[in-house]
Amino acid sequence: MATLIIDPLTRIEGHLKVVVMTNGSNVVTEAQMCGTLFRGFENILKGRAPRDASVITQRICGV
Amino acid sequence: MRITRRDFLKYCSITAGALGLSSGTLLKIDQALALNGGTPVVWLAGAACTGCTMTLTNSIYYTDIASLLLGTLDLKFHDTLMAQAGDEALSAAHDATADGEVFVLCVEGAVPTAAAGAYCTIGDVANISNETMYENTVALAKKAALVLSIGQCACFGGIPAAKGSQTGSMGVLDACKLKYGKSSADYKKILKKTINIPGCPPNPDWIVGTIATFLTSGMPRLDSFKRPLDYYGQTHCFSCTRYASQNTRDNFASKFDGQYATEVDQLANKAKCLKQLGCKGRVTKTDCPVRLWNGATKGEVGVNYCVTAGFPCHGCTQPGFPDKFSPFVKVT
Repeated sequence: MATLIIDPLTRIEGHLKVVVMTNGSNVVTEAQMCGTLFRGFENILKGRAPRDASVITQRICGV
Repeated sequence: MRITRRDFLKYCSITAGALGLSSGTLLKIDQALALNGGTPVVWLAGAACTGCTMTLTNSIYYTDIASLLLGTLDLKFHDTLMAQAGDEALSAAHDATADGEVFVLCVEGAVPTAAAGAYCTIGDVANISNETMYENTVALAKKAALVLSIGQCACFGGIPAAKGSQTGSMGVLDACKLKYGKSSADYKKILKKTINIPGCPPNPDWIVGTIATFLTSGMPRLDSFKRPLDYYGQTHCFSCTRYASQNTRDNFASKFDGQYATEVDQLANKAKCLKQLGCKGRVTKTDCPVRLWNGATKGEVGVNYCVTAGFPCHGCTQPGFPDKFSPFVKVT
């Protein structure tokens, strides 16, 4: 049983951490992923003019 | 573990088909690596959308991104574009930024400072501890020969720092000010070697042009917000076609172009100023109206941008975006 952690996972948009668990014969038994960035767009949008949402939410991902 | 030149070329030839690279491109990669030249660049992404990376890869006016990366810059760390991952990626960054190494630090995205920077981590060192964006940015800014803050978020905080955010996000200079103190020698040194290239995203020409200016003739002339005057010297209205076409003072559009039914009416509306619909062009320093965006041919300007497309300028190159310029659209 071995655990492999890949952080940062590259060639993707954003921040991702991957944790892979393998058994004795190098077969993956479990895989977990974790986004390592939090911006809180929901909180930023609260209390704003509704039309502002089109400008703000398009900045969630620029790819 | 480091990836050797041989490993990298092997990797390139395996993925060449998938990436659409020709054998000529592979030869260029080989030549560029053999030269072992170029300015080492470490590109950190914080609370970002990677839009600034996308805009850089769309570069066309001065040079395309392939020539830039193969001939001019030596990109040591960039988590969207680099071949290595995990520990190998981090050790490439550590090698490039070791004491005594000369490198340029490019930062994309804001720096979350709340909770000791835990809202954004950029890597897991040897599976033991997480490296936060905050501690990396302030440490590397101190060591770098030049700090390029690319995009509104890295310059002034942008949307991640807007009202309602709980992550304590701020621009690179503000994060360094928080870490080292306003009157510390470290902060003053960082202030001197920082260039801000705001915009959401910045035009590729602004980034490539600034890098080229720095490499050929040193620090460009900057305004009080550390923006290069070549690109941020005039307000948007100074060169706006909708403003220039005003014959009378009351030539303001009361409706958006798309709200008119016929093409004739839409075209007539395109000559009218968008101020009453919420345009922030009067206070926004940018050359968008003459440079334009989405160019297709080297040496030619782009084809369109927000205001010619009929949407009011929302001030994305100015400090205080987005809160200061909200609401972006005024409807009467």
